[in-house]
This record gives sequence, structure tokens and C-alpha cells, in this order.
Amino acid sequence: MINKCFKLLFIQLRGILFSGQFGAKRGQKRIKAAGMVLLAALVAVVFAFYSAFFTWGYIQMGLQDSVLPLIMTASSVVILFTTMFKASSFIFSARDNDLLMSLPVKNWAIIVSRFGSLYIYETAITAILMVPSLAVYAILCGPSVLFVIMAAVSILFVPLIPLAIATLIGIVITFIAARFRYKNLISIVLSCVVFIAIMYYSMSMSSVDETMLAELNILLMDFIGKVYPPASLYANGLAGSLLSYAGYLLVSVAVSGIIIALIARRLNWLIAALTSHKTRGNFKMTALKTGSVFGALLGREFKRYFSSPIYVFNTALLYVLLIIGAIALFFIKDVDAVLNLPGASAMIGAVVPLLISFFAAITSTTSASLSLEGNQLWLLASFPVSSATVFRVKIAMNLILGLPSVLIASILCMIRFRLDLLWGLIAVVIPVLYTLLASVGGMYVNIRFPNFTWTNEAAVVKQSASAMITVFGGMILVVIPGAALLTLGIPALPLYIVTAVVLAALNLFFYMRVIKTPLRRFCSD
Amino acid sequence: MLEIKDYTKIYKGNKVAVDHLTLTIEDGDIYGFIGHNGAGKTTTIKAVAGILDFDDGDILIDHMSIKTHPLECKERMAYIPDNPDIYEYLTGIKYLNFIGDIYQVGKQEREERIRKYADMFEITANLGDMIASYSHGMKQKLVLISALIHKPKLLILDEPFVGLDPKAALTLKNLMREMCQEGCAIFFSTHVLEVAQKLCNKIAIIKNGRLVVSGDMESVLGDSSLEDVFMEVSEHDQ
Repeated sequence: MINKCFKLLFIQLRGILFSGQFGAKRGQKRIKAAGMVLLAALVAVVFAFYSAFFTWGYIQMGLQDSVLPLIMTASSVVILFTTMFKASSFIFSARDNDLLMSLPVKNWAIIVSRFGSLYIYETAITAILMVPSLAVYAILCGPSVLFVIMAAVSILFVPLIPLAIATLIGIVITFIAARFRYKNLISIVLSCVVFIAIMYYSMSMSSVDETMLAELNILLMDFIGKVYPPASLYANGLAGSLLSYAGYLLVSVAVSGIIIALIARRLNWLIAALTSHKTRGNFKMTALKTGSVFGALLGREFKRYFSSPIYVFNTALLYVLLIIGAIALFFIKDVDAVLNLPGASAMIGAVVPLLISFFAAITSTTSASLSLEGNQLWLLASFPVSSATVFRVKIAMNLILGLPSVLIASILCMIRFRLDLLWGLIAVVIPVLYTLLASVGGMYVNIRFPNFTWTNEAAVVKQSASAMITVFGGMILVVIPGAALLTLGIPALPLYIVTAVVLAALNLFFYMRVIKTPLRRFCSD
Repeated sequence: MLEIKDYTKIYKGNKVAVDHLTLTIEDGDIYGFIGHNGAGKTTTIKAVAGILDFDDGDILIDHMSIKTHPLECKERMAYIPDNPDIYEYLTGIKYLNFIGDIYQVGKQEREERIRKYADMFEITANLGDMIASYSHGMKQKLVLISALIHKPKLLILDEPFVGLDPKAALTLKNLMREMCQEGCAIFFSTHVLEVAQKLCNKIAIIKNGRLVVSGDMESVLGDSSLEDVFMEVSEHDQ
């Protein structure tokens, strides 16, 4: 049975890593694969560098005792947030449920294989964050070999508890939502509530009195323990208590083992409960509303969007956070004091366009919208509608979702920082151009890296090459002018003019490529 | 209505899926397209529906090429695939109304046709439910209704009877005859040879991508049954 479990896990991983090669020739596949490896390496290097730099800074401040537990807690929280909204979909709503359940494979093998593929993915992220941190710690603090081995081994255990908790939260949300007629909407609302609750809990725990710098190590350990209790065991373990260390490993394995066992025991029931649909069977024909082709396609696009909580949560949430941030900034009287950065308010006017743009540039529904058509793509291809119209509709949806938030944030900042006409215009134009780029560029990337063979939406929305390239590409395109402005001291006005011209050119390039792509190209295999 | 001229499709690795296929389907024809699994039926049907590129030849619908006038061709036809993968996040009625909008069907005709065909296929009561809750057969019925909303002049069906209950299959056969009498052309693939023999006036048998037999049902069959002819053709080269 363990052999079957490994085979299932292998198939899962193969699906995640090698789907998305649709329609590519052999040479193109190699180029795409090489591009993906390069991108993944680049992202890993950025995070690794950040983690190492963070550790170095903490050690310089004399906080070496708390830095590794802090990185471990941060990794756990990141895993919890990133898997909470995909674990349920990944484990229960896979399209191959019927096939797998009919095979002579035990439920626990199915669950372990799905949990396992999530685990491997999250362990890789944990390693990217924790290995550089551990290396810097080992070089600067010279711990014993046993300490290094213990810390290294613990990396394999870090994702277990957050993954198990995320799965449980996902089940509870989906289970409650399944009882309502508009279950996806309820699921989205509940997910937001949980997200905000966790954020609030984390922030309320971090009220460290800055005057007590001498006791910061103790305070940090206390904070870590409150945010994530197993981290206390971990910290004590690394501090020399083998019992605590063994306790941490045991708790990690036990928590995930118990949850896997519980799920496996009731898997059939859970799948039925989580994926069932309410039916009425009492429909009576009434007058129908007619509309335009574009309107019909746009309406369908929004229905598709709101039918997937993970899709909504991965995109709309950032727009919501942007508005919340802008409102908060609007009402904060002394920005310098809040940011603890003297002169920040004088500088912020020039940075506002990029701050807003950051949210706009990394939020794209289009980067997954073509892939999400999946095996229903034939419908769009068979309609008497041009492929360009289909892509325009997908781009329009991202603009409809993004532009209002971006404009609200821009206007609030214009008023708050009393920007003159020129800077007010820049505060609007630059974020709008980035929103366009996320929409059109995301569409282009999804056309280049489509994946129609996914078995769950999370694989497309969160883990696909298209989604990652769009997010990190957008991030890089904001960071470049940001770095030029803040570190190289390039004057803001010419910098923004150049940025606007480059963005407009990129938008035009991507748009022309997108509208010339025939949909039937993707039905050709 | 439909002219397939020297249609050739080559897949990756130089596998010839369909080799210089030529067929003509006239108004009022019910044209059966028979062949073993992997013979090239679905590949041909998808190319006719305009969702698959091809390498050589041309496909004309109402004298217009699907290559150069895809939208005009698609407006005149309806395609029903072998697997009814449709938008599960819509209710049945919203899906049908969406299709009505796509084909710009007038409000009155739309409502009349939905009412008529939904009643015929006994699915009216379920139109308010999400498609995700439908069985395979119900989805197939919904796809059939959606194909009829804009009154196509050419109906392309890939294994249309799979998943339908006996009553719905009979309803579909009657509908196909009715549409054919009204001048619509129907081109469909099936493995149910008895149905093809009774329903079609013309037949084509394809084997390994090549057309081996085609023409009027009577001239193709002679005194034999379609099953005999098919078996004879299948075994001929072996």
C-alpha cells in the first residue's frame, strides 16, 4: 500500500510540475522549462538573501537566541496563510476523485499522497527561508555540530503543523459554506474573516514595548510562543533541551498524523459533504433577459471568478488590502511617527504611485483565466466569437476588479498628501498603467504557459508557472523604479515619465500579441 | 451545406490522423460518420466545428471556408461534443440564456425554444439548478437544447446518444428527422450502427484516417446490414 501511495504522490507531483507544457514543441518545452527553473532560482535567491540578511541583522542586534525560532514561526505563518485556502480544494475537490476512489487504494494512501505533494512544496519554501538563516547563524555564532544537525532536521518538520491546521480550517470553511445556497460567496466571506482574525491575532501579540530593548530577546521568545506555541518547544530544543526538541518533532508528526487519519476515516463522507450541490428541481420558466455578446461573456467570466473562492481570495484580497491601507494612511495624522521614519511624509508623495502600483502589479486574474477554462475551452472555441473578444473580456474583468481600488487609493493619497496637479496625475497614471500591465501581461503569460490538465484550481491559481511569472514579473517591474528612486537617488519626475513610457510600450506589445492568438491553437492536441 | 475537401490533419510526430478526406453533406441530409476508435472521426468533427486547425484541404460551410470565415460558419452551425463539459458554475437556464446571447437569439424565440426543447427532454424542472449537480445525461440534454436555440442550418454531433436515456434518445432521433425535413443538414458520428442505419440517408466509413466507403445508405448497404458492411470493411485490410 505504501508503494501505491508513492505512485499516487509521484503522479500528483508530475501533474504539478509538468502540466502546462500544452501545445509546446520539444525545443519550446526545453526553453520554457529552463525559463521556469531560472525564475524559480531567482525567486529562491531573493527570499534566501532576504532571510540571510534578516538573520544577520538580528544577530548584530544581539538577538541570536530568538532569530531561528522567529524565522521558523514566520515560515509556519506563511505556510498557514498560503495553504489555508488551497488545502481543502487540493485534497477534496480534485477532478480525479472518482477515478481514485474506484481504485483498490486505501483512503489514507490518497490523503497522504495529496498531503505529501503539498508538504514537499511547502518544505521547499521552508528550506529557502530557513537554510540561509541557519547558515548565517552557524557562521556568525559558531554553534555545535549537534545544534546545526538539529536545526537542519527540524526544517523537514516545520510545514507539518501549519499544513494540518490549514487543512482543518479549509474543511471547516467549506463545510459551513456547503450548507448555504451561495456557498462560494459564504466561503469567500468566511475565508476573509479567518484571514483578518489571524492577522489581528498576530498583530495584537506583537505589542512589544520598544523601551525594553534589553529584554527584547525574552520578549521576542514570549511573542513567538504566543503566536505559535510549538515554536516554544522548538526554541527550547535548539537552546539545548533534547526533550523539548523531541517533543516538537513528536507534536508535529502527531498533529498531522491525527488529522490525516481522521480525514482518511471519513474521506467519502467529507468529499460528498464538501462537493455536494443543493438542488430544487422546481424551476418554472419566466421571462429571460437578453444582452450583448460581450456582456454575456463578461457575466460568465465573473460567474467563473466567484465560483472559485481560491481564485477570488488570491486576487481580490489584495485590492481590498490596498483600499484598507489607503484609508488607514488617509486618517493617520502623523505618518512619520507611525512609520517611525522621520521625513517619511515628505518622501511619501513621490513613492505613493509605486506603493499603489505594487498591489496592482502583483494582482492578476488573467494569469489563470485561460487555464481555468480547462476542458470547457471547446465551448469558447466553438462560439461565433473571435478569440480577441474572448481575451478582451478576460482583460476587462481584471480591470473592472482592479481599477476602482487603484483609483480610490490614488485619490485618497492625492488628498491626504495634498499632491499638486502633476503629482496627482502621476499618482493615477502610473498605478493605472501597472493595472493594465497585470491584466494584459497576465493574459499574455497565461497564453504562453497554459495548463488545461489541472486536477484542482489551486494548481492553476497559486502554483502555476503563469501565476508565478505574472506575480514576480510584476513585482520586479515595480522594484526596479523603486530602487532607482530610493537608492540611486534618480529624480522622481523623469523616472516616472520613463516608467510610464516603458509600461505603455509593454502594454501595447502584450496586447497586440494577445489579440492575435487563436483559441483553437489550444485545442490542437 | 458542408463540403470537406481533401481535409488532412497531421498530429505531432507526423502521425496522419486524417488523410485527404472528401465528403459533401447537402441540405436535408442526415449523414452518419462511422469508424473504429481512433479512426479520425472526432478529429474531423472538431475541424468542421472550427476548434481544430488542420494542415491541408478546406472545409466549407454554406460555401464559406472555416479557415477564412470562422465566425460566419460558426453562426450557421451547432456542435455537440462527445463529452458534455460545460460551465458547471451556471444554472441550466443561465447557461441556455448565455448561449442565446452568444448567438444573439431574439427574446421571444429564445424563450419559446428553451421551453419547447426543455419540455421535450423533460429537464424544465431542473433548469434552476446548478449544472454541477446534473448527471451526465442531463448535461447532454442541456448541450442538445443549447445547440438548437439558434436554429442552426448544420448540426455536428459527436456520439450524441451516449449517456441519453432511451426516451431522450428517441426524442433526439425524432428531432433530427424533423430538422432534416426543414432543410437542416446533420453530420454525426456514432458507434450504434442500428441507429445509424435507421436514421441516416447517407453514410461514410473512415478507417485509419482514410475514407473507405461513402454515399447513399441504400447504395452502400445493398442487401447487407450496416454492421456487415462495417465488419467487412474493417477486416478487409487485415
